[in-house]
Amino acid sequence: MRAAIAVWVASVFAGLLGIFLYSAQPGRASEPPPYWPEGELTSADERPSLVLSVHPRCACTRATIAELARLLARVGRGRVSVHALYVVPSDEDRAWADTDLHSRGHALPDTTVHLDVDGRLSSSFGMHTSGAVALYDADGGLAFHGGLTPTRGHEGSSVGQQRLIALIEGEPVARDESDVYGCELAELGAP
Amino acid sequence: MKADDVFSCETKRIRAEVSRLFVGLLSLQWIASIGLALFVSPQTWAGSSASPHPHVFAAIVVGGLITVFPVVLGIRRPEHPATPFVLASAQTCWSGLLIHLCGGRIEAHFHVFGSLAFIAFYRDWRVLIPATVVVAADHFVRGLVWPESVYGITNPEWWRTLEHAVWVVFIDVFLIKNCMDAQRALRERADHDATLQEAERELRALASTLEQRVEARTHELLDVLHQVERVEAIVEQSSDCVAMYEIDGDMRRVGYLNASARESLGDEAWFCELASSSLREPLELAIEHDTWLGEVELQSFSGSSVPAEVLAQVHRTPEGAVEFLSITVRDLRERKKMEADLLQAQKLESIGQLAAGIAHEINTPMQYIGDNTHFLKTAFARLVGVVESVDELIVASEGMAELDSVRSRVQTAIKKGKIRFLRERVPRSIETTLEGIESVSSIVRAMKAFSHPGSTEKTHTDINAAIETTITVSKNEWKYHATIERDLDPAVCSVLALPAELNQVLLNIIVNAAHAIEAHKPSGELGVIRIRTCIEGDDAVIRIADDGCGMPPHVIAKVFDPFFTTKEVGKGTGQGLAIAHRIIVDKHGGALAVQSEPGGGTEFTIRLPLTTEELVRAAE
Repeated sequence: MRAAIAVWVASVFAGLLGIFLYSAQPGRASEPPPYWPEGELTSADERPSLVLSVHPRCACTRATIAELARLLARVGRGRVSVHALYVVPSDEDRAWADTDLHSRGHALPDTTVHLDVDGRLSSSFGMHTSGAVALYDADGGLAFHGGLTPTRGHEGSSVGQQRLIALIEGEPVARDESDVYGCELAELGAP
Repeated sequence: MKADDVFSCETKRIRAEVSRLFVGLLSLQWIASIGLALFVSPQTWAGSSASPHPHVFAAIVVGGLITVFPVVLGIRRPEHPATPFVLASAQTCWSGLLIHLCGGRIEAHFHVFGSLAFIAFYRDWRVLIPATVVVAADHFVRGLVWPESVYGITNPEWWRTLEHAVWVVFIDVFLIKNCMDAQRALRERADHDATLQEAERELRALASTLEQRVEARTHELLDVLHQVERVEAIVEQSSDCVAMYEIDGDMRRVGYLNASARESLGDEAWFCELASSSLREPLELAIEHDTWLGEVELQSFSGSSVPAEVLAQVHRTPEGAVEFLSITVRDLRERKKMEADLLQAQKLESIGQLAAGIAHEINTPMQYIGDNTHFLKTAFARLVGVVESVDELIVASEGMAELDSVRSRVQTAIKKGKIRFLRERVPRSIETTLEGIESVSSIVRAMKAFSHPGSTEKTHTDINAAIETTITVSKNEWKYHATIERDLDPAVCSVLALPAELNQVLLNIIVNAAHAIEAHKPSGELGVIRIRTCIEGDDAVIRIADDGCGMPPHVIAKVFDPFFTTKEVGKGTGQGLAIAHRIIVDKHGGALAVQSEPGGGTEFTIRLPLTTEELVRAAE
């Protein structure tokens, strides 16, 4: 009986460890430009602007949207301008992106939802992973980039979220980046 | 069963019951998690290409790892002490997996507390420990290795590694208290149950003892009842009249009358009447002396007077009061009749015993009476010859004057002596006398033969002669009612038999035949008794038939029973044919049969087996 229990404990531990390791594996880090790039999007004049890249079918990004919602609630309305970029392959119609993530993005305050055909906008911000965010201050300078979840698809307080809040609220942070967890955007036009 | 045993049994029962619930819960969670993974995160994407999401594999594989072994354990060994710990640990692991599959949603964390509550169903606080340890260990290890994954920050305070575990401990406090209360209640209930079981065991033992006693008592009562029933049957079927006469103060009533009493004396009211009339004095004497035995003359309900022997016994209560009298009335009519018959039989026996001597005494004078009569006959014949010679002399002396005076005197003497009359009548008188002497002699011989005491050994007996003897002896019985026709086969001359007893048989049958004819022909018309003898097969057969009244079947059926008779008192004892049957069948190995019909007469057939020698002699 004891041996059987030991084997069972070990196998469960291994399984859970596997899940943990998978969850802890970050996606490709973003490489955003130091200043707000010229293009379709314009940054806000007197408040920071946050850009979020979303793969409309990435289950892990639900946690990012939820954490972003908490963040916006935390900092209060009008404190930051959010641009949510929903990446759509050019060979798909718009319905491809019409998912629950898209609906949740529309429900976010101070947020403008954009369909990002073939991920061109995301690429302009150097983003390669769904759930990646980049914060530009009111002057258009890059303040922060990374992810909002502690692990892959897992809600809860995270380093990235805390740093973003601090920056939006005008507080200094030790680092201006964090790991990002989500599906790859690679074949959707990202470099 | 002791309280500890009861407690242990109850604990095992609860353990098994909750383990089975966990088996269902874990299985359900496994299925639900697979569904959840397929619904929430079925695929992972890399650009526009998708592949199954690792959550699906996690739900199937890791969920299986968490579930299968505990479920098997819960099914096969639900009462094992380790089973609750394994199941509780598995349930806690499921909390972690489900939280993960739900994307770490705060709401999903409530699964942990639900699981703890569920684990508390075991009512054993120790089972809460592994669940708490799993949560604490998870957060402790991850807090050390990768705090950001748990707390979202890279350098949490030291106490934060225990934060989630503390909340679990917080709920544990209540659950542990609950478990301990439940354990205490369980213990108290076990004590109570043990006390109840002990009481029940004692009650069962008492019930068993009581049952055995009741059974034994029931057997005794049944035996007594059976005995009472038998005694009751004996009393009810007794030929004596039995009555229970209850006395309660001035009130008296008949409590019981058996069948004989009801038949012979009448109903209860009539018995009360008797108790106040014929039985009054005996009953008063019985009450006075506790018992009374004597003879009284009772008046039956039908009006006939019944001589009876009465035994009255007083039965008293423990206090000495008279409770009832048991009265046994024996009908003495039969006994009186038998006594009369016995007296008659004794008289007949005495006469029979005297008959031999009387016959001898008669025979001796009869012999010389006969001889003298024969002498007188001869002498008279000679005298007649003399008288005839005198007559011739008178005739011859006619004309002889000198003889006239003599002749005249002789003729006068002859006339005076009525010699001519005597010559005609005396011989006839002598003949009649001789016939009478012969008749008396034959009767005397028959009486001698009949009254011979007989031997216990069979002797060669002339059946025909025995019949003749019996006919002679019984002549007075039949001669006024019947004539006897004989058809006696000379071949039946010698049969090995007990002559005296055979005579008795023949006498009984012939006398019965005469009585039957007398009853059938009261006008004086003579009937016929036919007696035949012959040889049939190996038997000597005697048939005695009459044309008397005959017998109905129910009388024929009892005709050989002892003391059965249809004759009036004093004329028959009911023993004659019973004795005849016993003599023929038992003592001679023969057969006695009867054929009869009412008004058509009766025929008795006696069969006596012949020896080979007798058969040869009969054939000759």
